Amino acid sequence: MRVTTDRSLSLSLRLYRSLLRAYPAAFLAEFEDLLCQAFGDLAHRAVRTKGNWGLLALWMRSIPDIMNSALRERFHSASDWSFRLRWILACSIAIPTPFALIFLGKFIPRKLGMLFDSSSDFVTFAFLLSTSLHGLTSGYLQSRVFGWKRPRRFLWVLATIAGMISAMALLRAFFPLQTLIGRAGAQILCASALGIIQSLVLMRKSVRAVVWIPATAIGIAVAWRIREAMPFVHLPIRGDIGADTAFLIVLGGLLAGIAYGVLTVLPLEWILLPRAVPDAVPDGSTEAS
Amino acid sequence: MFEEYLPLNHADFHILLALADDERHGYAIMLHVEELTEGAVRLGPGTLYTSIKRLLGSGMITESALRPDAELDDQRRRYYKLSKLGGKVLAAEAGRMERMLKHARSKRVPRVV
Repeated sequence: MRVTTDRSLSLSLRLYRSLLRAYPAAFLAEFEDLLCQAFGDLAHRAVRTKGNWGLLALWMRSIPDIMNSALRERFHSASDWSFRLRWILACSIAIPTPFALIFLGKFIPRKLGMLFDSSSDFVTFAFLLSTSLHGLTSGYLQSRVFGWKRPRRFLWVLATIAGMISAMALLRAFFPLQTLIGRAGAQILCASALGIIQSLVLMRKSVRAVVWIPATAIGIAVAWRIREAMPFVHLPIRGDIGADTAFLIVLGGLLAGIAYGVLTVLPLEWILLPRAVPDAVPDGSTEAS
Repeated sequence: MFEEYLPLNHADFHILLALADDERHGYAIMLHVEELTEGAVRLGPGTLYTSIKRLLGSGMITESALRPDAELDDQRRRYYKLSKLGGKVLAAEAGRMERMLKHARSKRVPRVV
């Protein structure tokens, strides 16, 4: 009987700790051990006074308690929401901004404007310039969200530029890959180059950074698909583009940026937010006298 | 200044009340509230610590440096105490409730025995 009770207690403590994932990470970093300790104390008292039935009654109270308080904490966790909103905002500005800048090419002298025109002889240079511009705006705006020191922010910008160029170059170089694994598959595979390079910067924060590779690959691939779904995406950049078309192209970038931001924010938060305590199950057996 | 915190929610009021006469750790607060309300109010750990986080943030309670003797209790426990602001808010809330009760009695609301 005693063995059964001990097992129920141990199982309850493990289950309780895993249910605590419902709370925001920042809250858990501070209170996870204390929550487990308090639940452990309650569980020991319940078992001592009423056996397994007491434990069952405790669970009947604890599940609504976790659900209510976790939901409230998530909605009131201003720092989490602020981080999420700033990340999504940075991504949604970062993608359409280069398009808007490139449109300025319409108003600059023709020779200089040719640098941005992929149909010209400067195709390689144009590709590098436009991809670098995307990497620069994305990297810079995203790095502002992290609150890191300047050297690491600079590293993030460099990693984003290098990642963007690698991803786009891979997509062009391995064009036949698309017939083998489909366009979406090829895009995910190539976009993972960006994830790999950026994760090297994130890796210094946590080994969880490996999650960034699939997250950003899927995010970028979805953003590309959204841009491609726009009927006007293949229009030449230089040429007679009206303000309406320019607006729609920037809008396409904005939608792609929002999608990328939404898809990547939770994995990023998981990688970046600190965890002060290990995943071990506490003994929780120290009931106050 | 402290009126902005009123009315207090149920859990916050009970936590402040539990800390009014002594410094306590989380589990001791839960036990005290249960005892004081004769089992009518049972704060769960989730409700307790989300309230404690909020009360710490607003400065109504502070973490105490008090640590129990390692032989008597777990030293990882954190003790909390009422701050000056917390005391004023608690007194104001108790006064508000007292006035409400007075009004209710003047209306001849039937008493629950």
